[in-house]
Amino acid sequence: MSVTRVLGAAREALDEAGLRGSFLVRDLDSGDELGIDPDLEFPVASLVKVPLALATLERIDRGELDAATPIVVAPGRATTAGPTGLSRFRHPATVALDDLLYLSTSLSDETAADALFTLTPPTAVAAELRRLGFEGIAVRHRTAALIDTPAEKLPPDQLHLAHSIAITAATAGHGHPLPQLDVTRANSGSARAFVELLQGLWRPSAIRPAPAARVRELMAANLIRQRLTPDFSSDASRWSSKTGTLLNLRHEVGVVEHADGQTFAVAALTESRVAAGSQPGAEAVMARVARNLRDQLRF
Amino acid sequence: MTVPATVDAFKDGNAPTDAITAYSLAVDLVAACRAFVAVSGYASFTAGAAAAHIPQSVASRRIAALERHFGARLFDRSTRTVTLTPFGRDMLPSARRLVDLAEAMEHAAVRARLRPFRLAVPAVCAPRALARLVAQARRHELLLEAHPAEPAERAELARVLEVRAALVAVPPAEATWRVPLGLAGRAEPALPALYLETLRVGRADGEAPARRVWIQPEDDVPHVRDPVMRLRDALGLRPGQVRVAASLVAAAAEVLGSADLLLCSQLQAAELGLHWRPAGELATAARGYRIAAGRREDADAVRTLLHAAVRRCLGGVEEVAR
Repeated sequence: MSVTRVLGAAREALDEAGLRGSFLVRDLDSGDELGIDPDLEFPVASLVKVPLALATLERIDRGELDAATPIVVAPGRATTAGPTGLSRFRHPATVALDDLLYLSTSLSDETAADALFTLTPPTAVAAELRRLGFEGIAVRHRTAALIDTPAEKLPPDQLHLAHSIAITAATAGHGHPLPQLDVTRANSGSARAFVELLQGLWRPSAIRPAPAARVRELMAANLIRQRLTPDFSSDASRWSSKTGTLLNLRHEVGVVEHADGQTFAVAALTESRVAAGSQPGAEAVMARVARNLRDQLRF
Repeated sequence: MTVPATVDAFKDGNAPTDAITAYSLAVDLVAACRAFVAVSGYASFTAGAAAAHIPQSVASRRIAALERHFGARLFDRSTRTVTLTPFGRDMLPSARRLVDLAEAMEHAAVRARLRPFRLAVPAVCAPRALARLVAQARRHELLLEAHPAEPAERAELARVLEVRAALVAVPPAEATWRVPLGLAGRAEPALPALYLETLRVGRADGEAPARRVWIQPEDDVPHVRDPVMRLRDALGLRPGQVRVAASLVAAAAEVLGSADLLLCSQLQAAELGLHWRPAGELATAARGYRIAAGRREDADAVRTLLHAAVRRCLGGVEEVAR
């Protein structure tokens, strides 16, 4: 199939699944890439935990922070579907800085990420990204906002109303009355910006080797595997990734390393026009589209 | 002769005393004038009464009552033949006008009763059932003219009074007629109900085309369409798996050429030769219809006289409340 036809079929599949997306797949060694609207900006939700981990690890590497520092974390006591780890804890816990990085990056734990943001605030993370030469990812707020949306305020049987608001209230230029969904106020970025970051983590760059290796390790340990993982993991490849989910937003960025050495960075950022919380069908289509794009570059 | 006539007038009970109502007098006036005109025309009580299809005694009694009412004789009965008195001659033209006017009025009443009654009906009604509805209406002297239209157009036609009444789509709870909806497809399902969730595409199904549910324009109303769309999202079906078709024909064509399903009534499924099952998650899904009319009497006429015929047109099964 020609590239044009693959892209056409991919767009059709996304539309059929009620998705609008920004996709980019890049061969990290040849630089070959294929994408769908890769420069479209989205609020990134939990994807921000990758730059957060990177900024924290750079500071640890410079000796500004100590990975072993015990930190007392107040319990999140979340009961709604979604939050993990400390966000669901019912009692205070003392966790080392290094382990907060694991909880934040591999479990997408909002409370752990918020504790990391206390040490390295959003402006400091943004400054670190700029220093390392990664443009295109805006870090503006902490992660507590991600579990303070209409979805948490409405009873579970009215979850679709929160999604209807998320879908229909958008304003021109990707603005939104909900700050978490407004690209001019939320943490935001494009598929291309994240592929650049992944390239920096997996291939030599301004990032120091130790922090890069630790971020790769944390992403390989990602526990949220229902989205792109089923289409990329096998015994002959390693899939390392981070997901981001907020209301009608579903993202995942990751790297697949094949046994033969070929390595691809994959970024899939989507928003759904379907007013439902659980959409495994949409996630399956995301994965299939990302795989089809990757298959075009695997030769 | 004078005495029996007077007695007759009193026997009729219509003596023009001041207590007699103008109404009973007027009715008698028309009948009496008819007898008067007939008898004068034939110059004979016998022949005139026969022409007016009344017994001669009744003709005599009515004319006598009229004479008593006017206080003067209309006919000269002293001669061998019946001849008009000068007073009778003066009264004859106006009596004739009254009789003609009464006849014109009767005729107008018959015509008014036969004025076409335009009724906006769902475009999905089958010709046979509609024809039976029109025939049934004729029996009640309603000259029904069925005007098939989609739901939004029917409501609009009734609102601007372009039709005398319309069968408008309403939620089943407030409907006069209720038509249960289910899913119909080419293949006969093995189970008594068809669950929408079974249309969900599995992760391992690859790129096989997803089965769709088609909604026909008649069901493109919020109380039918939106619950199906909401259910589609809640069950994790793809957004493209529930669609509103441009027409019933387009929807039926899709269903006949694939494994897709049509949201329809059991009657429609039978007409299209499809197998019908209630939808498992939407067992209570139904179309609802109510009569909207500018005049309450028009609405009542359809609702009461034609209730069963309308139900057959719609494919409804049970009555809710009148």
